[in-house]
Amino acid sequence: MSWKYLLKRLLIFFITILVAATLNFLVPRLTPQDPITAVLGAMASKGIVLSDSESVVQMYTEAFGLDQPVIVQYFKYLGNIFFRFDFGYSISYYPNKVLPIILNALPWTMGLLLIGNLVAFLIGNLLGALCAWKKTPRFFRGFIYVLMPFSTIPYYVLALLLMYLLAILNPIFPISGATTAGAAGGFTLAHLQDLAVHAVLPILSVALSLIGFWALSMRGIMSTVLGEDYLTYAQARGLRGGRIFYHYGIKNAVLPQYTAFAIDLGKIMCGSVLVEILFNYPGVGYVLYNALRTADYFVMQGVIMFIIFTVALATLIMDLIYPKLDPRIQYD
Amino acid sequence: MNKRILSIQNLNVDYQTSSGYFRAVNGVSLEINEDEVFGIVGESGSGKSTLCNGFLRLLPANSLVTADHVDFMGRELLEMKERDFRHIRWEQISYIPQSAMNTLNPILTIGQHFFETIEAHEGRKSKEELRQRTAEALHRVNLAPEVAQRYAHELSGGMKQRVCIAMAMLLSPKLIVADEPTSALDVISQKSVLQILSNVRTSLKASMIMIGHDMALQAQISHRMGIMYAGYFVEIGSTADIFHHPTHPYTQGLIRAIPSIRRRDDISVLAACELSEEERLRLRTPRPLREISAGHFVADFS
Repeated sequence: MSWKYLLKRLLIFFITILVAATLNFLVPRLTPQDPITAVLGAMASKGIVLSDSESVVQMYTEAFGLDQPVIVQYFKYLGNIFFRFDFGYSISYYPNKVLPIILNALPWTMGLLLIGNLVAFLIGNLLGALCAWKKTPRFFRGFIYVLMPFSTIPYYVLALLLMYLLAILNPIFPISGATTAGAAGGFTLAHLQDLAVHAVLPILSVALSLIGFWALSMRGIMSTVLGEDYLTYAQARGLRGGRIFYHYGIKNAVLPQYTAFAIDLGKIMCGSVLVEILFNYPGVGYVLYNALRTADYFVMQGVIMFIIFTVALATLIMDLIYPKLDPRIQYD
Repeated sequence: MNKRILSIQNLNVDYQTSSGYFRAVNGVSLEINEDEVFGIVGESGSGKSTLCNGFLRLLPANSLVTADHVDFMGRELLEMKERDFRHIRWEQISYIPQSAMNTLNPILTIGQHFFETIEAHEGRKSKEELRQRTAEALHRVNLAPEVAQRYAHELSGGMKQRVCIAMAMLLSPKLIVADEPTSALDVISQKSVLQILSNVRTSLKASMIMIGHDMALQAQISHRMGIMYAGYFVEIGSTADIFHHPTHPYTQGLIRAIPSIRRRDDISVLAACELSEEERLRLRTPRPLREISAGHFVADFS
């Protein structure tokens, strides 16, 4: 890979982020909702009545810079994200800043999604490959049909189902939250165990719904790969079955799956919102949900910016390591 | 008298299709001696590749191979467990595929193909020894040791075919099955690849079954030849017998159809050498071979 390509690819990465940031700035401002009035409305509904609401609106508008022309707001916004990584203040949680709110939620989401997706990717692809492999016992190949229904059920429905079966009917796992309320933190074994137990159902609902999808597509690709001449040639050379399965079958068949995985990361990020809400899991999805409810522009923009950044970064990384995975791909 | 290394008696291959069984190889018997090149010639679909892949046990699962016996140096090939047969593969019988286009794993380097082949049969080896032996093998087919670091897509067709020849010789096998090793190459690479194949085989004193459809090419390299049609041998004999006394009408047609560089024949003249459609249909039913002179067998064709 040449330096020219690397620079070009990085430039595309930044342009993507810039375009996304612009849209992210414009779209919320096109909604008829006014955030300040929304906050005051929310306060009023809780019985807090402000005597001098006009001046409060005035004060907040100035504090958030909403009185300035849109173009000034735009450049300030760009300057703040690109040079200071500053997404401004949260309106509903004022005076908290947006970035720490997202960063606090981030580890939960990353843990949930990365583990859920990796588990699904690994198990799904392995199952799919085994289903296409001639020497796999018949009863095992039938296993894929057991997983199939799970991939057709949306995962928030699956989450409810799991919750009902494993938290209510048979209370094996806690029904919600990321830790037991009031539990002590820190790197103690008890605390880690507590975290793990709480993560099982959310991870399971993400993973289960994806395993069938990966298995099904892998089975298709694998059976095409198994018909290739290099498999017969490997067999003729007396290689062991396991080596042929892994180095000749899986490693070739999984190549298009990597791309699908990188692209899917985006969908996954957005989709996790529902799982986090159902399980009351304090991740980025939960933050986004609250921001939408309270018209909290800045948090919304922060979260969306963050999702865009993750997806762009994931595809960038995938692009850069792809020649390592498939030597036939060369960039110049 | 040469020692016999492979003896096949009455081998059949059936393919299971949606409309029942289709017999692709029909009662073939064959013997290969030590240090001998046996050419199998026939048109596409005559069963020559199926015959070889059949006793090499490389056919897909929808095929059924049966035989009275397939004896390779005293061992019955078709009845061995795959676990034991794995050691016959490459250590004793190696294989050169028809076209090297797609026979190498696209995500492994050429060198890794050699390493894994050695280690599959001889256990773990040091990196140094693996590199050394790969370089030697590549040197035998006039390839530079650097080729080991390349991927299949970076090599030309002729180079890939030479890689496959080097691979086939890697463990000094007793028998090499070459399935049209040059048919995917241009005439010039064909000649050099054939030259290399022939030299390397001679130096190893290995026997070889050479499958092809090109009579002229086969005449250059084979000691004995078998002509296949519709899944059975119509004529087997020394190369001299086949060319000087072709007896079966199909063999005669094949030899007449070789274009001459000195005489310009109209394509219709060459096409006229073909058997008539009724004749072809009549010959589809296999006939037993008769020995008409020492070592020269012809199937009954009357």
